Amino acid sequence: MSQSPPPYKRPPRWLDHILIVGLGRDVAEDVLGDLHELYQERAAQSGEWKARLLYLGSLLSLLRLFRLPYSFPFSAQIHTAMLRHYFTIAFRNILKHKSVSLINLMGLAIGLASCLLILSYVRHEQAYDAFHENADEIFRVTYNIHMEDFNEHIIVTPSILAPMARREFPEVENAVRLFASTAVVRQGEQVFQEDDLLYADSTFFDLFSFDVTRGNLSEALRRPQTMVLTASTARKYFESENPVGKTLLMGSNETPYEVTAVIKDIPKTSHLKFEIVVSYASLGEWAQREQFGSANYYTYLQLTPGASAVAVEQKIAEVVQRDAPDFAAGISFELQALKDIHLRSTHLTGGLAGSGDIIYIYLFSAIGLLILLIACINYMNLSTARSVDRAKEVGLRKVVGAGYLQLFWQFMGEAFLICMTALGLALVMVQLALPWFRSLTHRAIEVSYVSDLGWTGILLGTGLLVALLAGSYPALVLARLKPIQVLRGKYKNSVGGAWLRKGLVVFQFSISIILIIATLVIKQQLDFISDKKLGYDKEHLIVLPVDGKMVSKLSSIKGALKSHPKVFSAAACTEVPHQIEGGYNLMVGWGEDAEDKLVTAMAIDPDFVKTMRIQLLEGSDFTSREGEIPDEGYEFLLNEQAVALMGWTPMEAIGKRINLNGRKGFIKGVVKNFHTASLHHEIGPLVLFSELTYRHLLVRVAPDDLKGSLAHIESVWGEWMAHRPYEYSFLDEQFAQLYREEQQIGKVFAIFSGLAILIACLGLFGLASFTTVQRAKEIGIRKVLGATVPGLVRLLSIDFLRLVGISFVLAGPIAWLLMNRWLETFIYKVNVGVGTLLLAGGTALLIAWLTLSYQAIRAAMMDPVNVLKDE
Amino acid sequence: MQQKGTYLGEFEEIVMLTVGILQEDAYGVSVKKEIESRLNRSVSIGALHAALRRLEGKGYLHSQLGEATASRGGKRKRYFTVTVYGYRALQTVKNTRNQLWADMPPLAFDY
Repeated sequence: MSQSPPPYKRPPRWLDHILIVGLGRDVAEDVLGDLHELYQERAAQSGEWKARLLYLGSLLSLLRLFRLPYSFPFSAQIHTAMLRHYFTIAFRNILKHKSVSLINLMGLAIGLASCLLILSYVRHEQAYDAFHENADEIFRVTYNIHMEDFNEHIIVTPSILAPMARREFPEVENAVRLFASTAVVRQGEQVFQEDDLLYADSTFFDLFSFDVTRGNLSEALRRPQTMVLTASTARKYFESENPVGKTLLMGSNETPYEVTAVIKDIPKTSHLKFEIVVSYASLGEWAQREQFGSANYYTYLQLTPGASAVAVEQKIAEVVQRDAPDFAAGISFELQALKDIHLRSTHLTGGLAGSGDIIYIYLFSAIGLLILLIACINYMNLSTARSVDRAKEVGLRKVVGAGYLQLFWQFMGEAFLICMTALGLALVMVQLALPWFRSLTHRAIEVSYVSDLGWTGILLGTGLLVALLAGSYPALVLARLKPIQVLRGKYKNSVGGAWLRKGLVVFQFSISIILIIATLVIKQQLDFISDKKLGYDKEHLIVLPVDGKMVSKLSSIKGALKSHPKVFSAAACTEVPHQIEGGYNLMVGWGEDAEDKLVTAMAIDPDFVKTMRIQLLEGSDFTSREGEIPDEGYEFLLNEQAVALMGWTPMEAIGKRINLNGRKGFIKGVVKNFHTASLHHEIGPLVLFSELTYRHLLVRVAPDDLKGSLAHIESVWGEWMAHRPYEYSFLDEQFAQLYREEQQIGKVFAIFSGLAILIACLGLFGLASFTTVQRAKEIGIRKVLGATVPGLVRLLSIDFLRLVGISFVLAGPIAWLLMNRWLETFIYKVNVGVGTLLLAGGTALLIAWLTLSYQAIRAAMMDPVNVLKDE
Repeated sequence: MQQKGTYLGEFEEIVMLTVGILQEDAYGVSVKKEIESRLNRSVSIGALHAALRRLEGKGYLHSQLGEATASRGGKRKRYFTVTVYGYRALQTVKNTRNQLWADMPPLAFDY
């Protein structure tokens, strides 16, 4: 400049910014410089405003003329070269701290694998029944009884519902009734007990979508005595022949049924499970008659698209009110969406409910997320703890010109690298663990990466999410370091950082402790259940199926069985004692003042009370021989609840006359309450009567020589009941089945709490190793001054152990609350004891201490010379 | 022989020559001023820089950043110099022109 430098006139910043944005940061500098120089001159010559105008003009001309071509040669080069460099650095870092990197990797991999397994489970559960074409329009009708003394929501409905719905409501496009049953089926020499039998209306296959392999589905169930088989059932009876047109003999009367079609085996993700579908028309008059009483049938409705389920519910209520006002009091029918059945049917009872529970989905998802979180926290903790190591690197990089964003992405890139590797490992783990996981959850979970794009998407998404989550914090911390601090002298970890790390450790251990407590409580409750007195003796009780043919020979069969010294007694009944569901109507009094109550009831034979070892409180057992109805009417046994329901004492009840669904008789005796359902339910009123509708034979045997007893039973079977395949089961095993869900949950919790603790300890291990390195000098000095090894170990561990203690204090109350909530679903339960809490806390503490002790002892034993010789 | 793609526009040629004249001192503003004073025509800074970059991209010019000065708000100058390759390109153009001039018959100037 010719003059003495005039005061520097700055062109407005925003103009500069436009340029930077338009052209890129590296490019603009010298151009900006030129513009500024020109601005100076113009401002001096023509004043600021002219200068600004010209500035703007120049700017625009630049923008117009410049585009990517300029920046291109520079930027592309930078990127590839730098990427390779970053890669190398990342690699070197990983290799430099092999153990820490391994810990990080393993922690992340385990966390990811657990999360992925759980995700696969959740996905599987959510997709139940989605394969039906009309899935969104299909609803199941449930029967909600809310009368004062009987409150149940059941899935069986009266037979009138389906035909009525189809007739009266235009919104209902299709309606089917289903009746579940079992039967013995025979084809030539092949005889099998079919437990998954379904009677269905002819439009069954229009409503539900099952793939046909042979025959015509729309005609398959029109006529009576026709049936449709699944592919494996067809193979069972007919091998490779075409079964269509052939007949199978069913039932104790060996009625011939024509096979009209074969469908593919039903998908695992279907709440409806059946092997044979028989036409509804085959059922007797009792099923065809449209009536409001006797709810035995499942009703499914298909609504027109867009129709409102609530509106249909309303209409049903109106029709019921119109046609059967007495029946309508205290009951209602509700529509349940098909897709909700599998997971949201825990409030319903009565058979094909739904074997899943939405609560568990939430639970497992939460656990999966928590474990993932713990793994991410591990990564964060370890990385920030290591920031001391990398501080010099960061400082130097900043000095030679790295930008904040550049550094941020460098560290994020490292996180991505580790995460993607962990993801790869996790995938391998998942594949290996999948068979075991399937058996654990009793679900046929399929995981496919090629055909199931949604799953692959979830996979990658999770990996990316973890990388972002776990990597962002350390990347932020490191990129923010000020070079001057670093290079000047010792860089100490910020105090804030230390607090955060401690907080994260507490969080990790709290979660682990909660999971441990949950595991312990579940186990306690399960033990309680299996030990609880049921009111009858469930041990050593064998259950055999009974059908019409056998009923007439029952006394002979029982006699034959008892001939063996180890067989104590035998009795027949309609339902297995731990699952009595038959709903009956109990009426007291006659005519006008008849009181109407809903009870559970079933038929038993005179030996039942004795065989089951139920306690008779008042009165006496049945005296009548089977099949005979004494002149005074039926003999009834009531349990305490039933008697209380009537407002009587057991003493008073004897001799009272009652009417059970049309069976008139008197109360012969009162039995002590016994559990007729799982311990989730209260003991309800029960009425026992004698009628020949038996379906089970219970045999009590001696605890010793079970083998001998079973052999004897089999021979008796061969003699008297050869027309049926021989099957037996133990009552206590069947009973345990009721709690299969809970047992599963218990197992899952045990495993995942183990995993959570493992990951948390991995993290603790890593952290501990770093603090010992940081405090190396301190330890050395202490040793020189005479500290003992145990003293040092204590010093080093106490900090972390205190954190675990805090975790316990936090986790305890939360776990207590949560477990109490779960236990509330049981009427009969254990308490969450303080002992349990302490046990969990103690275990966590012990494990943490073991983890720490390795590091602490190693540090305490080292030679101070190594540390102090540099001073 | 000029290869394809090495076409040198009129403005680019002038810019290159000016850079050559200015030797050590050729940067955005100085080149602009030089051209404006010599040729008596206004040069837009945008066009100038575009040309400079393009020439550098072609390999005819070499650039490097110099020091920052206060008058430029702390921003460094980019100094341009002609490369050997660029010099050869200029030669080619000059030769072509000379050839054409040489082949023009003297009659062309008789009005």
